[in-house]
Amino acid sequence: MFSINNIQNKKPYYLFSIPLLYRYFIKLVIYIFLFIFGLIVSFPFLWMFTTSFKTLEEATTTSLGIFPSHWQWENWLRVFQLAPFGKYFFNSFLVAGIITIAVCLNSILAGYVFARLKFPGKSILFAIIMATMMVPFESVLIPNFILISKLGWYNTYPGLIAPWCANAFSILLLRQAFMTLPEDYYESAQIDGCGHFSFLLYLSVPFVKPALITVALFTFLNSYNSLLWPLIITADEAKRVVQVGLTVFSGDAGIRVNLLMTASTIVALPTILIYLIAQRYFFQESIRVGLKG
Amino acid sequence: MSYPKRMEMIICYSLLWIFFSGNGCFFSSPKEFIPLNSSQVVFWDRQTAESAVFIKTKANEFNEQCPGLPVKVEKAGGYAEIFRKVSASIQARKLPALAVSYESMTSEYIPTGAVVPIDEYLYDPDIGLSKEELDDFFPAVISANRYSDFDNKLYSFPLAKSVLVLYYNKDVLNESGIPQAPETWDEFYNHLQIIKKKTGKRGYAISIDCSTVSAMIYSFGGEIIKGRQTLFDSPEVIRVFSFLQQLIKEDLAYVIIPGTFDDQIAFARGEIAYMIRSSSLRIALELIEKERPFHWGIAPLPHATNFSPVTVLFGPNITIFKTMPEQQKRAWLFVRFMTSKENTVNWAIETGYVPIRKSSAEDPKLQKFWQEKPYTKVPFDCLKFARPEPNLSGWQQVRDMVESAELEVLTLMNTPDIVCHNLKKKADAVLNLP
Amino acid sequence: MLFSDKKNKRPSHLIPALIMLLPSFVILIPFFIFPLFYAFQLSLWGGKRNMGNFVGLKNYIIAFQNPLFWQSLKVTIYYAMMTVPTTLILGFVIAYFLSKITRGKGFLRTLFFVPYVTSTVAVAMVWRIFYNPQAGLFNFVLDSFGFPIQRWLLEPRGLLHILSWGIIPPQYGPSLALFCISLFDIWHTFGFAVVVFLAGMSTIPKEYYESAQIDGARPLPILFHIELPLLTPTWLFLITVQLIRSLQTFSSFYALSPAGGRTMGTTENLMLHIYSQFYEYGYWGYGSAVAIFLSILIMTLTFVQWQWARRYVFYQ
Repeated sequence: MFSINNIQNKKPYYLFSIPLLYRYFIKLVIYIFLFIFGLIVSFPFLWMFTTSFKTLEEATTTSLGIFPSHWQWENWLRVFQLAPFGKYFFNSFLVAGIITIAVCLNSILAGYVFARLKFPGKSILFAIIMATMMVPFESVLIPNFILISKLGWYNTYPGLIAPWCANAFSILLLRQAFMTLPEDYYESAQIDGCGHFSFLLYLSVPFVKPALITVALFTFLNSYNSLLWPLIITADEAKRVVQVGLTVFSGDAGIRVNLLMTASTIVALPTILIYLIAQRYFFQESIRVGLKG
Repeated sequence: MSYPKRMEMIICYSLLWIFFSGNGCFFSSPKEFIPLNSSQVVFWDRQTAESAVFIKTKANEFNEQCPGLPVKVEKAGGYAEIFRKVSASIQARKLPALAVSYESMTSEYIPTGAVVPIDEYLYDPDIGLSKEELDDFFPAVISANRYSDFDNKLYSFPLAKSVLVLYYNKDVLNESGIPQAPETWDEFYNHLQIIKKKTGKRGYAISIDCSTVSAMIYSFGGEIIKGRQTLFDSPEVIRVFSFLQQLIKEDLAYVIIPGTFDDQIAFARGEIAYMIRSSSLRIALELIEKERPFHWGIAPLPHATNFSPVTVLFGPNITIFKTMPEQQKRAWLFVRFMTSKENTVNWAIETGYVPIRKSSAEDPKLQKFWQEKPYTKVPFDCLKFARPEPNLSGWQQVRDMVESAELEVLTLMNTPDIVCHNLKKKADAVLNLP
Repeated sequence: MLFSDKKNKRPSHLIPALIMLLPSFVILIPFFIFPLFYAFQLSLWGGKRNMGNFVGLKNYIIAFQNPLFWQSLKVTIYYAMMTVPTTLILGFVIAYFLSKITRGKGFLRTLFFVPYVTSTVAVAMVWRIFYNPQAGLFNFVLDSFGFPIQRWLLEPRGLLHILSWGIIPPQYGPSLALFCISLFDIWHTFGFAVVVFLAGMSTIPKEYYESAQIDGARPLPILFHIELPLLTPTWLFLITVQLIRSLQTFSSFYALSPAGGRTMGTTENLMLHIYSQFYEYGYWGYGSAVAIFLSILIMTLTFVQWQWARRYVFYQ
């Protein structure tokens, strides 16, 4: 498997055919370009973060200066007073958390079944799962809304959580992961009398932990960041999630751009933190996805 | 048949069954409406945190005075957001007890059967309003809530009202040597030219809003609808759009992003002189004034030279939804409490809304308030010539079309007559869907 | 062939398999498979905020006659045409440069990926402020360079019209407002392309480079004759994934498209159209019809992507 370190160690061999000076010059140009580009790309984040500490006057005067003269920590408190962001975060984390756990469980179970077990109807059931991957989100939006409402789950936690508890892509990922375990491992476990499949799961799950963590991270991220479904299925404050709460708050804050930026920073912070901590799992996923197609 | 093949067939058949079973379970008869929150009377309001302080304290007062299901005021977004949410909630059959709405929005709700006609509560001997009380309300305010499309029943009730007024920045006017706010549109235009010449500033920030356009149409002596046809191609409407386009062409005004409040910031900073907005904005301006003093006033909307002053009447009506009889009754009691003589006066003092009762003018507290802050009397005076907007069903969609047309004119994409002509065609199509 | 398992002596694990598959199918069938059929059924019924009457294909006919529908389709296509190539080319260029340096590669890659993981709504708020005509950053920069300030999100005139100094009439092509939203999305998603390309480039065996070095090749021909051809599967994958995503974009449009007619309809894409027709006005049948139309488009693309993926992954 391709690990992250592989990328770091590669040296561009072919540059040896160019004179040394040119090589360093090109590298310098590339570095400068990347540095400037990196600044441009990260500028919105810098501005968002620093404006969240500014006073209203500073925030609404246009200039390229980004640092506030006086760091107003009160903004962060004020945001929580103006809108129940505490509740919003609770909702977001609760919903994202339950969805993540459910998806992990489902993908372990289903991935294992499709990787290891043999039973009639396996291919057709697998084809069904693959078919759900092809179903785009908007085609099921309206019917899901109607379905959830008829179940009485409009504006409830089950309504927010239910449609996302299984994910064909994660099942596929875990199936790949389980398939990399050697056949003999299962043979020997079975010979040893480990006929109960749940026990077998406990033996094989530790080996697919990287894939599992990747699935968990992406599921959590996508649930936390999703806007459309929570937007249409929740109505009142009690069930609002953070993304919807932010759009409502942009009307609340009105001209107070600094408070809006504070809210944006607060909303963006969890995912950025999770990403920075668990970076390599994100890149594993993208690599796998990019190579396998 | 072999075992595996039978499995395949079972799976295929179950899929087909799922496909066709949609017919069975989901064509069920329309369910009843149930309340969103069965232990509270939920009221969806649009006011932001600070301006909602008044209504929240009043709700607490009501809950203490009148024991029963507690009323809970929730901010659910702006009017458009509330419209979307109520729309969805109607489809999901779970509604709040009451919500604010424009008349055009209520007329969208009525055909679904989700709205409770208020007549039954109004004329109820126990909890309704007596004849004198009913007469105390300004007649225009009540009649705006009767829907001709739906046998003239009272489907919404005014909570408070606001009118479209002209805000002017005294500092900028003094700078340009203008003594007082304009009364006619010609004066308005002249003032903008003077301001541009003397100070180089563009005196007016245009916020794209259908109600503002309606008010301008009225003030130019025009009408918006006739029966179910719109009159968007009438000369007055074309004059309105030409006037707006003229302002942009001569760089006397600029457009702000709709939905934002950039004009308030510019107004407070003295970058513009005039703002045409709802009288309810007064509170926000007073809040800004505390941080950063500036001088401003309110004047009635300018009118065309040979016509009398006219403005648009808007502001929150509430619609009571079919939830449960207990909740509906509580909702009505809350409305009655909020529109009592005392509270109507309090509304006018604490918020930018105007009192809707005639007797409020005689209330000493209110008179004292008006003496302290003369500009707050202006919206009340405008009530006598304020007209509501159309409340036909389908008007909500026409509002978006009007705003789109306004943008088209303000960005100089097209001449006003072409824009008006297209607008009329599209609006008529929507209003007259078979 | 419906079944591919060979007959063997091991007992069939049917019961445990079905039990373990049950939770997944309990979610997938009612919320993915069934709604697809239900949506199709809905599109054949009319009705405002309820089921209504059977109207057959009338909703589709209404859609095809509705100028708003065609405009939102046009907007969606313009948007896809603006974002997909730019994101991929930009991603490739950055990944290419990143692959040529040694120090700071990890840090920069982390940096460029941050916009991708951040919530769209949060950063859209920031960009909306940047796009403010009076007080925003972009106009500030333009103004200080002496260019005319723009209305950005409120500008319904075509991008081409503005770039060509008025030669091309304003109705043609995407509007400046749409371009603003596209720019935001390019910034938001290019990190993904960077990471995928970087990974793809890291798998090119170094023998290729060595032989090129022996032949004395300069970087540019190496780029064209070795790297690009070997990265074709990555390109194909990214093109289809990005294309499908761009057709489904909702959050950025919702956050950035101004109220009041959505810049004369030039910032309303198909998703927003479905959203407002269904959620706001309650046209169940019409909304479903448009949704089905969009879904057929996307499913075709997904299918094509699968075929390509299958063919090219084994190709190498």
